[in-house]
Amino acid sequence: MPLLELRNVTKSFTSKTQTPFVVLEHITMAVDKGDFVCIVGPSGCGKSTLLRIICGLIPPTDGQVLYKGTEVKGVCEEMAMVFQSFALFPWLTVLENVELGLYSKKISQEDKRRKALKMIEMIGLKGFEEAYPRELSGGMKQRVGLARALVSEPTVLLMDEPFSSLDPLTATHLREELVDFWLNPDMAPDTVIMVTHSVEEAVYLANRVIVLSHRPGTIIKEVPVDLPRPRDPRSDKLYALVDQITSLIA
Amino acid sequence: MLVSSSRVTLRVSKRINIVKLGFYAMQPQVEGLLNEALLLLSNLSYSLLRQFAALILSYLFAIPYGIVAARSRRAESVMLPILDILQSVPILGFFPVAVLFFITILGGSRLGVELAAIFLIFTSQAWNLAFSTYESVSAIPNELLEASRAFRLGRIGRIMKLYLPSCVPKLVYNGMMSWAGGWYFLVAAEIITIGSEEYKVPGIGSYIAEATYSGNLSHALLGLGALIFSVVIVDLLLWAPLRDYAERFKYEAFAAQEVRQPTLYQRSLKWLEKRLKRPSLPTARLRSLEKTKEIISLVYTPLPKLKTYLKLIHILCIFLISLLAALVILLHQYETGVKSVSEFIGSLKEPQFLKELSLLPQALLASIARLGLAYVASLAWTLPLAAWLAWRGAAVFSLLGVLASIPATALFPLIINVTMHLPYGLFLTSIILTMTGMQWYLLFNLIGGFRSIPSDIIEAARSFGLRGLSLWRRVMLPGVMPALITGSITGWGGGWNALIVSEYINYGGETYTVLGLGSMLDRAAYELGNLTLLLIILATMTSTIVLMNRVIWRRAYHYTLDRYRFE
Repeated sequence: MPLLELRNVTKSFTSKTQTPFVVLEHITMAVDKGDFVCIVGPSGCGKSTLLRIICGLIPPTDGQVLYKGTEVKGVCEEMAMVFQSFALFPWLTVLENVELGLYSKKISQEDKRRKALKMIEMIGLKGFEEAYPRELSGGMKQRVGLARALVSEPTVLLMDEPFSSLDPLTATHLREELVDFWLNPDMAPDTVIMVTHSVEEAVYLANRVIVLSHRPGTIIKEVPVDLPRPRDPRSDKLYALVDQITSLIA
Repeated sequence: MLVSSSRVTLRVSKRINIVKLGFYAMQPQVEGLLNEALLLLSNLSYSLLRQFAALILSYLFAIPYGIVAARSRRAESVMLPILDILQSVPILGFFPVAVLFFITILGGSRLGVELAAIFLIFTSQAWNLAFSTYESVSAIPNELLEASRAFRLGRIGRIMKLYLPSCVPKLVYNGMMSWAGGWYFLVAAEIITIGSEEYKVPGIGSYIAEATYSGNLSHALLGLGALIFSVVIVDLLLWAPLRDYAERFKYEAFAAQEVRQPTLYQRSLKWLEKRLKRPSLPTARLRSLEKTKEIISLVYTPLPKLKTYLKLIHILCIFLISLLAALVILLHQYETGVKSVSEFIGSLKEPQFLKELSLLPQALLASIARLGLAYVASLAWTLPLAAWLAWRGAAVFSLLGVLASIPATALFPLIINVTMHLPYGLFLTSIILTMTGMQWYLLFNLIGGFRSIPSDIIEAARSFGLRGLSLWRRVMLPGVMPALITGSITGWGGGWNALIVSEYINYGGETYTVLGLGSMLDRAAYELGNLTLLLIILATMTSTIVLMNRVIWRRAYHYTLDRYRFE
């Protein structure tokens, strides 16, 4: 049984003036434990919506999302999300923001603090516990976003274009660290689902790239990426895959 | 030796005696001074206590109201129209109704007037703060809302970690403005109650008024000084730290804007502009034209866009408010001895009532004419001054700031004291008093408007040889037009309020009135005690304001914004 399964998921939005328009249509896919899946597609194809449906933030209009065989209704406790614009609470410190990831966990306040401090150290933000988000650079902010998602040790990490608002150098560093976290068996996450508009990024990171079509978004193709790790972002094999996927979208 | 020394002793003791004598002679004066100081302090504390009570009540009302309206679409469709109506009612018009209402309920004790005064300040603050909360919660970025759900904060968590913090900047800013506006209305309320012995409440407003009317100018000035002092102190001790605290709760886009405005002077200017906007009007929060447009469209345009069922809700609200008013009337009539419906209808046929009612159309026209005159007069001095001040230094602004922070109503007794002796004294006085409610809104909006004209446009115009009148006609006036309209909207709002204190003047133990809705309102409340009449006048006034806003100002606003905006 796959860890996560989407069966025939369709999403349409109804607006007052126009006829309902379909964002996603008949999405059927499965994600196994240990997968690193990237979803790519042209802008407006509904990839971010798909991620929110998986997370349980938005209910699908039709179809089902199954987690370990049971239907997901509402926000799933085993998943955590990293946002494109970081979504840090500006009035909370780094520590308080990370603790927010444990808000609904039934553990003592001391345990929450201890876990959050440990996470902050692992993500490389030691010394910034009491800083406010506005005092941090973009890369550091996304580190806080990542720490907040990982502190609850989720099985599945959902990422919505997490590196697209960062400068290229910072993004490269964070990508490498993300892969390290994912490869580390002692650390969350085991499974990552990431939405991105950068095909290079998808091929560099993923085990499997899922390519969505233009609106309404449907799955055009699933491309397995069997390149050995650590990967060279400039290798010919990688670029051959990038070209193949790009030609599917364009 | 001995003799001389004893002489010295004698002289010294004589001197001491003289000093002592002088002291004893002074003692009654010292005692009087002390008593006066105590009286002043207690009056000031009364006013301050009312202010604080009203502010806390306003927050307690506004925060839940705003959050619910922002988070539930169904609630929003009912709650926003209600707010819209409530803030169209002239605040000082509420006061007589509130006095009669609370006195009816509490049986004529001073507590009734006290509650009415607090309620008055409440009405000047609560609607505006509720709008602030609504706007803040509505403006929370979508990803933050999603994050709060993704991390399962739950209802309480979302309120504590997201909704409340997001409201802090606007609630502090508007709370500060409301506080300044509250002074205006509180002092007005205290002065109004001086006219009738039974409704009198102690306070800094009544202190200044009484001192002036009894010819004790030094005491009046002392009272004014104490008032200004407390305005400054409360700002330093309460609002200044809160302003700093609120910085943390802004989203980063706002923070970046702050950084771009580094000087204290610019910030204090911005702060000044803010606090001068009338709190009860939605335009109070304008920071830039864009923002203005947003708010205006938020508050003034929902009606045409609303579906029919929403219009029904709007009508239902008016109906409910009228029903409430009718209930109050019945309660009041019951209390004053009219027991049956036929008797109540009979009371409507009283000659006094009918006579007042027949005055209504004339009074309405007279009031509009008075407002028009005051508007033109205000414009005549604020327009050139604003153009001159717009590019001047900080010193002028801080002086203006102090002037503007004095609640204009506190100056009324002093103004009246001077202007009543002039030829056409009564006419002039009523116009000048009305102007005090209008002019600051105009001045500060105009200054902001002139400053928003890009300097390269002025330079370009100059390079083409435009100067003097043609520069004004082609660049300055069009450039300042949107600000002029918003200033006019707030200014007229303030003017309607001022009418209630400017058409009905207590001076030297006599009451002078000029024909107008304001004076009719006061007469109905304090001379006739006729609640039915009072509500009819209030309804006339409110509908006139709503009508003028919708027919004249909103159109003018959209027209100027379309034509004269700098992209």
